Amino acid sequence: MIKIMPPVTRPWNRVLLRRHHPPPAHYSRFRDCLRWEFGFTCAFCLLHESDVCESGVEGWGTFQAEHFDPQSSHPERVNDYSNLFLICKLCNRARGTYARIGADDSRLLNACDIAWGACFQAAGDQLLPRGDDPDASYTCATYELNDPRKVKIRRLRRSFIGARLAFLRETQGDHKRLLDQAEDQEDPGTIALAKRLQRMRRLILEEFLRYRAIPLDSNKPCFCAEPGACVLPQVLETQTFPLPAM
Amino acid sequence: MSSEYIKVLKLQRSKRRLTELHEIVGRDVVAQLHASVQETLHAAAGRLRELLEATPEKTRALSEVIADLSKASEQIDALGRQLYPATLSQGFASTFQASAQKEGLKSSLRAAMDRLEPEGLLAKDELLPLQPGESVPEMGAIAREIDGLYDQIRDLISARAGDPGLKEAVHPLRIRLHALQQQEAEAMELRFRKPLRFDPREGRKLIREIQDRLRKQ
Repeated sequence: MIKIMPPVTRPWNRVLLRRHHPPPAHYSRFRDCLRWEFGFTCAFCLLHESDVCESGVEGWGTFQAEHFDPQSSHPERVNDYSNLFLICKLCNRARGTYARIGADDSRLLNACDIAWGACFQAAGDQLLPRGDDPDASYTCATYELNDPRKVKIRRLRRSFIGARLAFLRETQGDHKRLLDQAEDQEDPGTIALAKRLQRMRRLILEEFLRYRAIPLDSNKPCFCAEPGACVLPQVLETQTFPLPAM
Repeated sequence: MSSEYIKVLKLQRSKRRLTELHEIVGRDVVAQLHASVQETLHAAAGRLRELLEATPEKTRALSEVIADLSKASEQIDALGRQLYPATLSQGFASTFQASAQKEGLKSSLRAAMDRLEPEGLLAKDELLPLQPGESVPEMGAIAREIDGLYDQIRDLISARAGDPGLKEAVHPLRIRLHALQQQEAEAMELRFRKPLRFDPREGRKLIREIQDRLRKQ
């Protein structure tokens, strides 16, 4: 069954526990593990790979491995899997070399230590820190979680999926009703309408595929080949919806 | 006690229960009117106010829409007062319809919607396929400038760590960065819309045609 991304990704209400356990190797080999681990979603701003590149991100450099403890200051952690996160290029560029601990002692939040939803909330197309948690604010500022481009990308998905779902809902069952009516009244005009409706619904389903939750370029098995780990994390899986039927 | 008298007592009890039930339903509807419908209208008016700030060219049209929504909100309020509880004895549905008609609620909401539709204001949040005359701008130059700015900010932070004047030095770069990010975001939207084939306006038109056709049955 093809799963489609939700109009808005809500920050996880549970801690995202790591399911992959790759053996020691150069970190570049962990890429597939990381992609499955985080559900092809940036661990910080929650943009999905399909938000950035509908034909697959591989080879474009738009999703990368983030060293939470920077490589420059913690060379011993360069290949430590628990120090790595899947991150979008925008977040990676924004963080640059900012340290884990800010000047005022606030710290970057570790996306695998806390439930992201406990610290952030989706408000419109923004991801805002909850309350006045200084660590959440520092994380938000460092990764620029509400960079205008990210806000725009979130809005694009929300509007795109929202409008299409609304159309499908609104016309649910109409195709059959039109055909029944056409048959009863022997009206070719109604048949033409049913045909247009069918065409538009098919078009929408085709367009939905750009937001596949599991991208076409996902690789299985991953480097660690952990049984059953190459699935979406449950916190994301529960937010997706199956590609609707015609 | 005669069986006739028992029947009368039972009937009186049933009537009392029905009246109580009626009141509960009425209270519930009034509460819902206040809590959900009015809240929605307030939120819509608030959202439109935000848009008003962002799009001065639509000021007049939006002001009228807000006025219509506010009027609808007041009418809901008046409706709530009328519905509870005395008039309910006439039957809830007929009371609601009569009051709604009297208050002109439907026409206020319709007026608001009509103002939004032809002005294309509803479409503000809607993604349409690229329209004639629109094209996707070249984004490479903006992306390169953004990259350059990040490098400058990073270098500044490295070179002046602990310097109290650092924030001030970074500030103009951050302003420029934000402006460029906004430009790139706008270009992204155009690029996103380029391959779109479903047009929500066409969708709405088709839905109206279908509804008309099915109603004729």
